[in-house]
Amino acid sequence: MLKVQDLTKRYASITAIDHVSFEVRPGEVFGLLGPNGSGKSTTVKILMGLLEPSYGRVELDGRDALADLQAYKKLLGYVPEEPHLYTYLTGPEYLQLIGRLRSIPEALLNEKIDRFLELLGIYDDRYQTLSSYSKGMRQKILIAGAVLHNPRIVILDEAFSGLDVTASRVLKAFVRSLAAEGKMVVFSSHVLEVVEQVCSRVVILKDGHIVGHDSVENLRNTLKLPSLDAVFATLTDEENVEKRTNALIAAMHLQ
Amino acid sequence: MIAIDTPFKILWRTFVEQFAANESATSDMQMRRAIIGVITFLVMPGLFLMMRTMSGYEMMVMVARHRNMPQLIETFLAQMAVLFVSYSMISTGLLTAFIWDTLVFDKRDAMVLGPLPLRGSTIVGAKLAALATFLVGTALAVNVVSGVSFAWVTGTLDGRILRHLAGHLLGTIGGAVFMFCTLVVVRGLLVLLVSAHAAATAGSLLQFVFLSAVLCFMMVPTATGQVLPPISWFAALFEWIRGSRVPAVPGLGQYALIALPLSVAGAIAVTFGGYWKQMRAALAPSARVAGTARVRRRLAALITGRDRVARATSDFVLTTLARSRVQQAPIAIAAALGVAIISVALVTREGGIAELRTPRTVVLWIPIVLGYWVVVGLRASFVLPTELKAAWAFRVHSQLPSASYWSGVRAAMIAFAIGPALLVDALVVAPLLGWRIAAVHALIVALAIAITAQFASLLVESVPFTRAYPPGHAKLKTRWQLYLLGMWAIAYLPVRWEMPVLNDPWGFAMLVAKGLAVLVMLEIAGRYRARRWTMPPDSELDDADPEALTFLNLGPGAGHNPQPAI
Repeated sequence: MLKVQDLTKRYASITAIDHVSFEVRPGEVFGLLGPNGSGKSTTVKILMGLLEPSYGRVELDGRDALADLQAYKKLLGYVPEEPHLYTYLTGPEYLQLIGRLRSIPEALLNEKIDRFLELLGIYDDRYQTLSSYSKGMRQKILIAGAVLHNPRIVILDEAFSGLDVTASRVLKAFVRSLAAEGKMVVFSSHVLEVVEQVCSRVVILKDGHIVGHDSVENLRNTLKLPSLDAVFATLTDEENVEKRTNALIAAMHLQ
Repeated sequence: MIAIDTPFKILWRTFVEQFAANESATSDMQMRRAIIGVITFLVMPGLFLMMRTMSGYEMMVMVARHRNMPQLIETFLAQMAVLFVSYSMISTGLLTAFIWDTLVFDKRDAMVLGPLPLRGSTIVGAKLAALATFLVGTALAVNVVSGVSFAWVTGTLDGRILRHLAGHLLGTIGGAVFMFCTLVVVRGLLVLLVSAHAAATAGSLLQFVFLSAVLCFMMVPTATGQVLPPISWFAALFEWIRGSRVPAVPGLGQYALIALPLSVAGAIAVTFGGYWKQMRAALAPSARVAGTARVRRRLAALITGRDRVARATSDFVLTTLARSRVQQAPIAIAAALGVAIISVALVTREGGIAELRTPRTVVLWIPIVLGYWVVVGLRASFVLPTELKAAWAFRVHSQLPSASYWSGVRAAMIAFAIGPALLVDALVVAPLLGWRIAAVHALIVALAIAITAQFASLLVESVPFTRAYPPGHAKLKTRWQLYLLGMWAIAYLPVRWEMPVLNDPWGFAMLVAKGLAVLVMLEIAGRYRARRWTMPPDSELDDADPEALTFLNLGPGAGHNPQPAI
């Protein structure tokens, strides 16, 4: 089990997250929600071992995960929010780079890469550099890179952005299957419909604090709201959308 | 009232700025400094050349008067014309090779400009205007001072200063325009007929060729011989306008008058062609690994053995070097410096060609000098970033602390540099000294390159290309003595030790054994030092830099959008 305890991160006078705690159990897809600047990315980066927390712990199976970062990283798979890739490499070359950095045996790595490319529908583009890939194709490469080494924990940060409808459907099922295999999946996204479909439990962050933490169903029932979208709007005190839209239209019409 | 620039003017300025833009120039100021540095680099040798030829001219005038042989002056003036035209064309070629990627439209231009409501003629016109600006600026910078001085000194003799000035400027600037336009045509045709990748690769080769030519021009005393076209055409134009009475001059000069407009028309045509092609089919370069890159990757894999992280690193380094032009430039520059040093040594040595057929330092060190400077260039290229934000892959998948990254970098350096050095050994040493000596010498070459690469890898502290360029990192211009000392230790000394044992198997084996011992020591030092290696910083959210945070506030109720306290 992945347990986050009192996680706090401060940048000078700014507190990005403040005493955030939650658990991710094996076999579940855990949603991480929040508006821009709520602390989602900071939380994800700490979970990934990319940032050191100012305070708090990340425990894996009862042990301090960040104390042995190398061992912990071996268990992680990560799809970042922005598809930054070495665009002069081809898809297979990029996956080879990742696979070798993960010390996957060569023959196994090549077989895995071929299978992923075929299953993700980008095998025919294997000789093209990533610079010519669409955003969705790049996202597929990132997803393949994240699970190439069969990680125990998969962290997906806006993993579905840019994917077409078919690929999204396949990957939603894939994420659920990962959980069914006993993996811990952390799913950070703005797309509440997707979160509602794939996540069993969610944490909603606002101003670096947790404002909601339960299963999607419980949150809906407790707040007597019809959808996660409505729950999110209520918990994050989202401004009246219509009022904001009108203001944007007025700004557009400024002469 | 606010003046709004026309689209043409904005595009022209943008295209001009593109000539000097690269990832290693982190500010406008650095960019301007780089431009000024390059132009100074080219103007100074021109002035030096002018002073050298002018003093020679004065001497020649005295000799001609003393002997009553005015034809000597004419012959000397013709030689000066060749020198000035050659320098103008070579330096323009070098500058053009440095802006190779921006000579014609590329995919980025198509993607940015395509959706904008701009006429094609405006875009192409702005590009052509930017090219013309660059050309006029460089041609004038390189030639005007020498032209005025030339006319002032030589024209006073026959009272035709303006004619001498016109001859110089038309000959040199005409040659520069021809060279520039020809390179634009070559670049455009490569993109249109072969591939964008081939066009990009040719850029580094041209940088190497022109820089070698410029450095040889500066270092090697002027050799007389047959002048080939197109230099002979523009030198003839120079002489024709100046008033030379040599019968062949007008005929040759007419070739220049034909070639010049043809090259300009060709450049305009490929600029239109490039625009048309990019706007209709954004090029997606295919990335089949070239033969040489494949051999290098295999050699690096042999060196890294079963270490997969090391192999990943060496493949990454070699693929980046093969496909990224930014990284190729310092290697081309350093290799050109090596070629110039080799040329100086060959030209200034005593004895004839026949003496090169006996084992001599000046011959045997050629492959090692070239390999040494390639390694120096490699080391310089490592600090130039590529796709900086993609470095997260190394942070996320890293297995530090590990010597694997260092091992991969070291293997890539050896695999990259050893090929050209051995090739030169086969092409230069074998024909001169025979295959047996070339084969034996290849061992020393390989050892010397491996030692150089091992040593250079000690100066690397992170995965190459994954960090932002540290301003002022280039030290060649201030620490050139150290580089020359290194060359003496790596290229000169081993060859001096090798020559006495070339026919002594035991002595040679001892020399190789000593080299291997040095390699082992450097290997131990490298693995020890690799513990200091660090991963690239997270460019998106650097823990140490709160100013790196960017907050976007869309409204008062948009959530927690604090501004960092500075």
